[in-house]
Amino acid sequence: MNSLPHTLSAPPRPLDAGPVPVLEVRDLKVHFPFTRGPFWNRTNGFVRAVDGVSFKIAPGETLGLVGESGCGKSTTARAILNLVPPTSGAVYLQGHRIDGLDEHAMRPFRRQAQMVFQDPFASLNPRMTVGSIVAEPMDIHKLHAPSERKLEVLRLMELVGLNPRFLNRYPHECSGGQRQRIGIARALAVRPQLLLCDEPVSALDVSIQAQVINLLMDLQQRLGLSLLFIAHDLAVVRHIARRIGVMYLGKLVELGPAEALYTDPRHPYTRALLSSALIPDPARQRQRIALTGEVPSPDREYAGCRFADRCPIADPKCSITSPPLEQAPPDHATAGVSREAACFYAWDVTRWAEKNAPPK
Amino acid sequence: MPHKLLQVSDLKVEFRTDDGVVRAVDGVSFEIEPGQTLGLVGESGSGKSVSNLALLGLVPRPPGYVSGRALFRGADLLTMPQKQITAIRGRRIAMIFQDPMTSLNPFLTVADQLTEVTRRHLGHTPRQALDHAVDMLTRVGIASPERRIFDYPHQFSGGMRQRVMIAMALSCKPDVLIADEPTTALDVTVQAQILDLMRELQRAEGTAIILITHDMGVIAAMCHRVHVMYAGRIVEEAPVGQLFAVPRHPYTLGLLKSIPRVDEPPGTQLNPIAGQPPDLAHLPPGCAFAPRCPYSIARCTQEVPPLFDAPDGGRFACFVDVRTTAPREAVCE
Ligand SMILES: Nc1ncnc2c1ncn2[C@@H]1O[C@H](COP(=O)(O)OP(=O)(O)OP(=O)(O)O)[C@@H](O)[C@H]1O
Ligand SMILES: Nc1ncnc2c1ncn2[C@@H]1O[C@H](COP(=O)(O)OP(=O)(O)OP(=O)(O)O)[C@@H](O)[C@H]1O
Ligand SMILES: [Mg+2]
Ligand SMILES: [Mg+2]
Repeated sequence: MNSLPHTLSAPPRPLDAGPVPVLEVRDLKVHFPFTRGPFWNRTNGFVRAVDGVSFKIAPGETLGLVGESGCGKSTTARAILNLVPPTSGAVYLQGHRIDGLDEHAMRPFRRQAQMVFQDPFASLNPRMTVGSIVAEPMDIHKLHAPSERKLEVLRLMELVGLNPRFLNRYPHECSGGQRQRIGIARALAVRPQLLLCDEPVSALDVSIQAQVINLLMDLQQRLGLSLLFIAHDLAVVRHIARRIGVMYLGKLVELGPAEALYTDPRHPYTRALLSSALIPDPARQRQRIALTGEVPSPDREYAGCRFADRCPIADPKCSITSPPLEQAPPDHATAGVSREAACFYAWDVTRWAEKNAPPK
Repeated sequence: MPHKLLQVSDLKVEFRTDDGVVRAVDGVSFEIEPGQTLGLVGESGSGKSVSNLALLGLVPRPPGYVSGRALFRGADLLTMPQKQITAIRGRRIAMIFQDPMTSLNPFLTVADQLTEVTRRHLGHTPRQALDHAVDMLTRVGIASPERRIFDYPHQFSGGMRQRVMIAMALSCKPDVLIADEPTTALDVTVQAQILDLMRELQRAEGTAIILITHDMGVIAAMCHRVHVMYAGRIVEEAPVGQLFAVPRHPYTLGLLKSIPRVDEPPGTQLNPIAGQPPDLAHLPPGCAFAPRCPYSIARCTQEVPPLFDAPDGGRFACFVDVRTTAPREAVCE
């Protein structure tokens, strides 16, 4: 599918499709080959980290991405920027197809789309000072005269709440949250149009987290920045993202407006996920839908729904055919915004009650 | 009288840098008994990780200098010989490190790293150690653990690496578990499973847990008492219910106000604490929070407030009673 060379033209679009999305991902797959360990015959298999994911992000929009640990969120983001080669599928950045481009051809796109990495320490060069780490992307893209450069670095550091004294520190002299902020300042240094944020605030205390979220929302309003925002903190995602995608084992299982998804989740996994969110108040705790059954493995190929073994409303059909991500029937669609779920019974309102599933 | 499990008093950690002395931890005292869970929250960079690394002798020296006392069953961790502390570390006191990638060796498989602990501390044979390691991976929810255990750390996702760290720390059923941001990379369903696992260990073995986290939901669900740190000091400590209901230090108050709430319309501006984090190498005289504090009075800039006892069992380091004083508008922007 990923046949090179391909043309760098925009995908065919219907006339009424609105503005060109900043990012469009089509049926993206990333499979990592493996050989079996010492106790087994050396047969090969694949970790199906990302297994057919499609979505779009409009200019100035934030798409939140949540899902089980190990379901392929980081790999999706890395594949979008060609940091791991996609196995198949297509990625369009502002209408240009960028998957499979070599590093030289990628260069201009690297300025448009930046990534904040999940593992801050591993992504920072230990031999560079904080100042030069933040300045490096500006130098690569020749953005500022040397005289302005230091001021710009200091400005970015202040924006993310780093004391100017950190300019000459090394990453190992910084705390977890300080490192995370270095990563954010660095990603913002080239003024990208699209920011892929992989757990950008997980190591920050709630006050600095609030400061960074305000900063991102502000940049969005002023500069039309688009965001892919991967996070586990559901309150944070709901706050920053209008639209949210829920991933489970390499696939999107639900995609829709944040409000609708939080108040009326439709995929059984989304329900279980939302029910497990902890409330920051010891006086109020809720009933959670615990996930039982064997943890499904990306090593395996599934004919049916990957959640079926752990699903309270599954029936035999679910293990045989894989439910596609489908539009909600008209009576469930929220005014003009599309809502999708990958479950045969997503819109079957009575089924949850019938199966005597715990209330949300 | 029997010794306390862990009793830390006046712990200080300084880093001597070109830029001056960074007082990362500045006189921290606390104690913990078997079966207790102590929460540690506070500003990013306030010394939460460093204070706990110091207990295990893991602060690099130089540039780090550690002083104070940390008695583990009566023996001072800070002065004991290297050999003795290595025998305790990982066995009696285990730590889940904040940054999995820096504490896992990228050149060794997950199996190598998980089996090493139990072979060294519990005298497992290679076979026993491997079985035990696979079992631990299953318990932290890693799929296909028999194959996955031979992967290298970079082949794991962020949350899977974090769970390897957790499996490693729980392997020897320690008496004290220091969990530094153990669930930041986990979705809430796996997080719930991990917290259950920690509670289970605590119930069965009487493990004492020091839980460092920014997640107020985790604090609310897990902890008995909570300590709040700011600029290297404990500024408030209280039973968990009280901390949320009647916070007494202005920093705690500001922290609780910054949490995004589900009953707030999305997209509204959040309320971070105004001003910039303090510079630990050049702290102001008086209370380190005073420059950002909407309640500060003249005395706050001259004297460091000691920990006062609250009538309801907590302690707080503030001269002002925030419950009866009106805050000024944002101090700085
Ligand atoms: N080697 C070092 N040299 C100088 N300063 C250091 C060094 N190591 C840590 N620090 C400083 O010590 C302070 C305390 O760091 P620590 O890692 O304990 O913070 P923390 O409370 O765990 O923060 P976070 O929540 O961001 O992880 C930080 O301000 C950090 O910059
Ligand atoms: N380089 C690699 N080689 C082999 N497998 C990999 C590699 N990178 C990722 N994987 C596997 O792909 C799957 C998805 O990983 P990914 O990092 O995308 O998950 P994630 O959704 O970001 O999880 P988390 O929330 O824990 O960070 C995991 O099973 C992981 O082990
Ligand atoms: Mg990830
Ligand atoms: Mg820390």
